Amino acid sequence: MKNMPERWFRKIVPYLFVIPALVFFIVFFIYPNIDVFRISFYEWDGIGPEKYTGISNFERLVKDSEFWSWKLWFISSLCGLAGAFIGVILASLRNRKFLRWGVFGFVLGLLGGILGGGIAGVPAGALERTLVIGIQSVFIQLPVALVIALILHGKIKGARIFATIVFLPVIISLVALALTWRYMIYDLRVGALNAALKIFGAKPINWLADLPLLSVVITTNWIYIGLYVVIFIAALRSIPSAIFDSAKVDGLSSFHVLRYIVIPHIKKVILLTIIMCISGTFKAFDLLWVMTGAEASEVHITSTYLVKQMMYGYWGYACAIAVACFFISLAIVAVQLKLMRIKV
Amino acid sequence: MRRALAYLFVVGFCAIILFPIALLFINSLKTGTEIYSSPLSLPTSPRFSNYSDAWNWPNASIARGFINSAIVVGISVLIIAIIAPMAGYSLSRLEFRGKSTFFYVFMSGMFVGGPAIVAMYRLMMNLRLINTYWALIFPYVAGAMPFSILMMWSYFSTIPKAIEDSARVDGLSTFQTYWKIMLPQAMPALFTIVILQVIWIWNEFLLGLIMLKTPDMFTLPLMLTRFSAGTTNYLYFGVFAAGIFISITPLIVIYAIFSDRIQRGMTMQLVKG
Repeated sequence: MKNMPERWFRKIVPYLFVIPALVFFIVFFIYPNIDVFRISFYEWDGIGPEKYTGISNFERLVKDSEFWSWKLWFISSLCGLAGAFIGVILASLRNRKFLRWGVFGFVLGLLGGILGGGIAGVPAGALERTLVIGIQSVFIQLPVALVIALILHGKIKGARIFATIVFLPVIISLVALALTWRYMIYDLRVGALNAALKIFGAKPINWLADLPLLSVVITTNWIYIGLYVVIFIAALRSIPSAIFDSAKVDGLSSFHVLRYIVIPHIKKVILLTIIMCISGTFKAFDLLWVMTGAEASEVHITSTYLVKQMMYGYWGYACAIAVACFFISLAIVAVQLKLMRIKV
Repeated sequence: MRRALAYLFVVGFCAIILFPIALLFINSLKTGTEIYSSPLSLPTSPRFSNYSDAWNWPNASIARGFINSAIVVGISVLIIAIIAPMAGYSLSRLEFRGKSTFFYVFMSGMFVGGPAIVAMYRLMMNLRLINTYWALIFPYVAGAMPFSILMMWSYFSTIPKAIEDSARVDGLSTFQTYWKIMLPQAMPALFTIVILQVIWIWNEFLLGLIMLKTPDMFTLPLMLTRFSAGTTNYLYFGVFAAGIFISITPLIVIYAIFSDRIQRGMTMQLVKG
């Protein structure tokens, strides 16, 4: 009988270890994340009482041309259909599965359409702008990072120092980087870009006012390429070097090494970085907020648009935006996992 | 030839990465007038007083932001370093019912959600914590849990079971085993978590923007935005650059010392999948 309390205590000890972390996590992470869904059905100004308004926040979201505009989607889905068509034709020529190639072509065409349309200046809302930034980072950051990683992996002198340098922006505060780029690089009078233009006798450009999206994209790529370089280097290290050696003996060109050895081996990592690029843009806030001048700016991505709505007192509507973004990024991840047929 | 080209490419890319930061440093030693007349040139005589001016800038003192950030980071990381290894240890080495459920609850945070700021504000309002350090510390600690617990969990899983068994034979209780035997073994992982969380929390901006109302409470990133509003002009541009440079110095120093560990920590799970 004497052993009873002791045995009982033994049983609950593992729970005692978990409970502090669990309490913090449930109260300050899970609960707010669920509460967002509830508040999205209310009207709230952040001060007074909440007022239940049903789905009116979502109705507003659907109609909000600042959040998303149908024009870009229309053009992109045409591109998507064209992509699907090409995919099916290619599949039939090469005896592959129609459906998979069709879907793949559609997604590629859709993404290409959003990217191309966004760059060409089709009126875009916050959602499209977020996607444009995310998709362009897939097509620019990842290939550049892979090239640099391959070079650094090839036993180049000082590879460690180079990797350390390119990774540097990742650890610096985005606010500090945004301010540095805004005033040191893009500024109309003292920015380095305009100083360089002046040397060539060209007219200065007000980068952040006239080309806000391009400026933000340049800075984003500048920051994050280093992250993917380091990720790819780590992934390349996991490939047995014997494979590289035998490829060298067989006389494979470096393109073939890339196509048949490197990419198949690090496929999973590439998939994860693609997801990071796109879903990361939905979380990006600091850079655009600080660079383009907070809520007064015309140029928003989903996260800054959400905070802008908060600043204007539409807190329920902000939650509706958060809910929409949650499902969109969930869908993106799901589609990609499905396409690449990789089980996580 | 191709090797030289590759080398050149990498060196050029590194130069592009370093350029804005180097320019920031150069300009932090110039007067505003100098920057306006020749933005890219070296300072004629380095003006170190920019740094003390920025440090003590009225209404947006970098010093105040620095201290606030240090307090928030210090308390958050201390709590994380105590509770995350405990949970990670329990989830990886102890046997109890519902263990995998607990694990999945924590891991859900890796994939979904983020700072749900509206709801977080409402919660802090009800707890009467708006404009206090706690309004930042609690969410930071909670947000750090999935990653930190996963790191500790996977590290504890690599430690041989025999060590734990011999401790039990010696009559140590579960808690003593954890505290005296297992935690010292897991120090490398704990250290990585501490450094990464210091970096992430030091840089966090959005939550502070929503929760903090008065400048005397502002963390460094917030203080920088306020500071920049008063200093990005003809007179004080050098002070502005100095202020920004002060704010990034601690992290650059930490990174210079622990660059390998930081890189590995930030990319770890991705590559392991």
